[in-house]
Amino acid sequence: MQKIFNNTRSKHYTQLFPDNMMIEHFGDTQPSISQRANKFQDFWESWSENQIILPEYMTHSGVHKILQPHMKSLFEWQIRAGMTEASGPGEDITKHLFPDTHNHKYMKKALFVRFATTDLMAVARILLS
Amino acid sequence: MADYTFLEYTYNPDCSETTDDIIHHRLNALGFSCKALHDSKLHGLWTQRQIILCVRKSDVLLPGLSGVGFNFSQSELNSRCMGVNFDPDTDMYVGSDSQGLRILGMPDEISLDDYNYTKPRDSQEAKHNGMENVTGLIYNSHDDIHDEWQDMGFKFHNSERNSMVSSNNRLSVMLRNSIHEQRIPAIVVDTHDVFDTTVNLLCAGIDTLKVPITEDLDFGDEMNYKIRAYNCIAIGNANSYSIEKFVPDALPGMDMIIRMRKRYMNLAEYPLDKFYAEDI
Repeated sequence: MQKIFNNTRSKHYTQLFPDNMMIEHFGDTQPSISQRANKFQDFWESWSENQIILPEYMTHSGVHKILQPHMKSLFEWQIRAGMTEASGPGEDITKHLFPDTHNHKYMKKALFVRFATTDLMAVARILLS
Repeated sequence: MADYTFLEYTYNPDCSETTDDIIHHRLNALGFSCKALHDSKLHGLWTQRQIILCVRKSDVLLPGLSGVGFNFSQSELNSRCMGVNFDPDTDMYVGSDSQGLRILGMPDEISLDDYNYTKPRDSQEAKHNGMENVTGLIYNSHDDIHDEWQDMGFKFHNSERNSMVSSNNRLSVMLRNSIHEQRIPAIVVDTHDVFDTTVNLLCAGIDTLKVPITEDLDFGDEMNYKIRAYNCIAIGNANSYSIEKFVPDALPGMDMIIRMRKRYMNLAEYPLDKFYAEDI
């Protein structure tokens, strides 16, 4: 049963994880879920220098719609929510104590996009502006 | 080291062969759409998939590819690599090599909203977008520029020292020494499907070069048939190939070699003599 399941890939799976890209990065079209998760997490961490913090009006799905025709998500770019420092109090801004400095900082939620290469980031800057 | 990021094309809108309408229509037919215009109205940013083409108006005698853009680090900008200086006409850093080819840089922190670029209101979306990346260019130059380009991180990747590749391995530059009128007569563009792209270009009214049909192809029956039917140049075999289509004057003064490839094949292996006569 396991074998039959492993050999069956949905159209959705092959769109998300194209065979050529899976072979290139994993050496296999169907790596395990943990292999996939680890690899994409490694990508995210190694792309930290190619990061854009999106303005508040941009949504997750909006960014996908703009970038998807140009570059492949997960393999060439990824988007994640996180916290970034805010200049002062305001709507949707929270105050946090940083134990190392014993100072308070204002933080807000933001979307972060990271890219595999600087040239992909340059294209995205133009498209997202 | 500076990473290659984009190309710049320059035309003279006062010439009857290169009016704004002609150039914009041609760019659209090639699959580009305008994403941003500089407030000076002299400079626009056009994209297709992962290609950025800066399109500049100037009183040049010959239209053509006029510059190569890099993502310079702040230290490279501070050291005035290739004489780059901030240019308020484009909000970019601009310098040049000793041949006069413009070397451009987008500042690291550039966000178009912070600079003098705006989205064009009447931009036409292209009907097709099969071109993925610019991966090479032919550069008619002399040996003196080797050191300058090596300073920018380019390295030779063959013993003949006539082909260099950028530090991010995205752009190959084939160095030629010829009397061709254009400094950069052709660029090489990668596509996932050269046959599909050929059809899209022909439907958009862009002519491609007819080449003699090769009889002894080794790409399997289906691919052999397609290569002949679409009149492409094919190098290699079914396991490792570059299948190419030549678009003369894709833009005035600039030819395009559109290629689909499997496994790495660098620019030095190009059969340019199949596309050009004795001289390029």
